Amino acid sequence: MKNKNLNIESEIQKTMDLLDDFPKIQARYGFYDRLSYRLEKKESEAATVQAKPIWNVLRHAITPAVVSAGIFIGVFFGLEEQATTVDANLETLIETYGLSVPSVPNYFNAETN
Amino acid sequence: MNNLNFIEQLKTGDPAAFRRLVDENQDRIVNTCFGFLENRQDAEDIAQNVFIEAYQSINKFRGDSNISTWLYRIAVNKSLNHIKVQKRRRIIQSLEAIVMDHREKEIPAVTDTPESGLEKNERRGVLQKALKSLPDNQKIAITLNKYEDLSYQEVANIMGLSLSAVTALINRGKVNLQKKIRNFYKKSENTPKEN
Repeated sequence: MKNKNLNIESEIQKTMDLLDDFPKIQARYGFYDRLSYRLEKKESEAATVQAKPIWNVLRHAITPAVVSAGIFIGVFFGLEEQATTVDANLETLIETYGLSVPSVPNYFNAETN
Repeated sequence: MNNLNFIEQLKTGDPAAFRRLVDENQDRIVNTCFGFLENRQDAEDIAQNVFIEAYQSINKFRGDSNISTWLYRIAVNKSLNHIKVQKRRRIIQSLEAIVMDHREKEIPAVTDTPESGLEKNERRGVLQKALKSLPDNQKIAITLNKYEDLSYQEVANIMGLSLSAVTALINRGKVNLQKKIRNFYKKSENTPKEN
């Protein structure tokens, strides 16, 4: 029993002695180069982030304006084009089949007379 | 190194001054981070983060302490944060492993290390485990004092404590370390060996 305790105590002592024997490491070759590359990357990212807020503000104003302008242009030119197409089709039909519109008698005037 | 001119150069973003700051401190910062993280790659990554933070917030440095003390403080904070993040990640990973029921058996590493070296490595492992489980302030004080060979006064400056407080912390830390190591050896003696 005494021996067992002695063993443990000597193990503890040997382990504690390692506190004064920590392995030291050094920065690997190219530490500064890797660091400056990361710094440059960070700075360019920061510049992009700084530019973003202006775009974010503008985006909220520009998006509805563009959408409403698009709708207006679409509706305005779309309707006009549709109307001219219908007229042109009618005229083509009349010409092709030699259609003529019969004269409508003026029933209103006849009745009153 | 801590002259006002040098600090001013750093504050104006002078690349030569920054390079000097890195060259003169990189080894001790990497070593300090290694003391907490026990992984070379992580230690270098965190040390780089330390210098990036120093570069970005040099204007906050008031100059009332040594600049290397300031760097040590950043290194300690970043290392401890990294450990916390790693712990959380490990918990999530172990939960995922349980859910997926996908556990790989650990393959024991085969080493050609001579017996004495192996024993030393084992002891070092026990010490690291015990050190890891200490309260943060004891762990910081012992790591800075033992890994970096910093004096108690320097440790006190870094931790923002009095000399007597640091002395007490280190003494308490050593007593706790001994207790933890003793428990470990007692447990391993009672555990029947396989094979």
